Amino acid sequence: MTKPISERSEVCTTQKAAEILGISVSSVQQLVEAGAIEAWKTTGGHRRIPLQAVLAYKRTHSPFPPSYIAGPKSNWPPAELARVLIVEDNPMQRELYRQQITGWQLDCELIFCDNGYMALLEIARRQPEILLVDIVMEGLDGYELINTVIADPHSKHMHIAILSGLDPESLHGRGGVPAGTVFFNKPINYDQLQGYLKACCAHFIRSNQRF
Amino acid sequence: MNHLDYFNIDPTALLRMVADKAHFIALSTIFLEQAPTILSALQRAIECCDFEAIAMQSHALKGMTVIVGANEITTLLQRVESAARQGEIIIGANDALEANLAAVTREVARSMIEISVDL
Repeated sequence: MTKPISERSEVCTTQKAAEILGISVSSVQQLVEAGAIEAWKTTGGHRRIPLQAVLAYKRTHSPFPPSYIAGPKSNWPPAELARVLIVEDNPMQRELYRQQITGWQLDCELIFCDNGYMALLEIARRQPEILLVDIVMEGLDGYELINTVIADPHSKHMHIAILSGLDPESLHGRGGVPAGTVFFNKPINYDQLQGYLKACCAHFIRSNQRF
Repeated sequence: MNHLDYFNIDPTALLRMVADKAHFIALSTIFLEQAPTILSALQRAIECCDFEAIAMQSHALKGMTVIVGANEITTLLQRVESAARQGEIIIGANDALEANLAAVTREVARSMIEISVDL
């Protein structure tokens, strides 16, 4: 799949800048218009944001201390929020998930990956409590990702949901919906997804209570 | 914005998914930034008869065109993807995709402007 960052990694799209900074696309646009992040326009009028400008902004505005290094069950940031890792290669779909889930005001932290390999790295580093995975992706597809995670005994606490345009019959040819995972057919019923995430977040809070 | 003025997209499809104008504009921005790039990659794949790349790029672009309600090109991309997964090429696909996406892109850009000025 064509990556939004050029091969030389010099410029990025508004979408990629939003993901790097952990904010919405609208917020990136506002920051650019306010001059907080440098950007320029092509002769065709398309905005381009230098990757270095995004990274420079991130360094000066990061909520985490510079020494933060993600490791196995890192102690920073404090695990008060359930971590939700969403693995989806469609950038518009990622933005839709961000808009919807943010609007629900759940006690959770959203993390996005656009491919299965990066997702495995994120899972190892940050051990999210909730995993939402698209099936059809380039490289390591969602199905292989989920089976890899399920096979790891350390993942037993993880809530796993498949979000896919494939119908259950198509999945049947690949072994069906893995036991213990939830299947959401696209177009996603966001009311159902909200209920599922609310339950997962509540379970996380109960699991971490000290009394 | 009058959705009846649009022939290649359905702005109401996207409007139903978003909470406000800013979200609509954010999603439309992503489409305008990325769809042309994916189309270029898809066209190169078709010229090279790289079936795996054709399937992946057409699937990727289809995932975006469906969100803006561009039904005709979404259907075409589904046909291109299905054919590629069976090792087949659709004759004339490149020209049809280019013309259709150009029209879709123009309307997405217009919908962004119109929703910005709507009271």
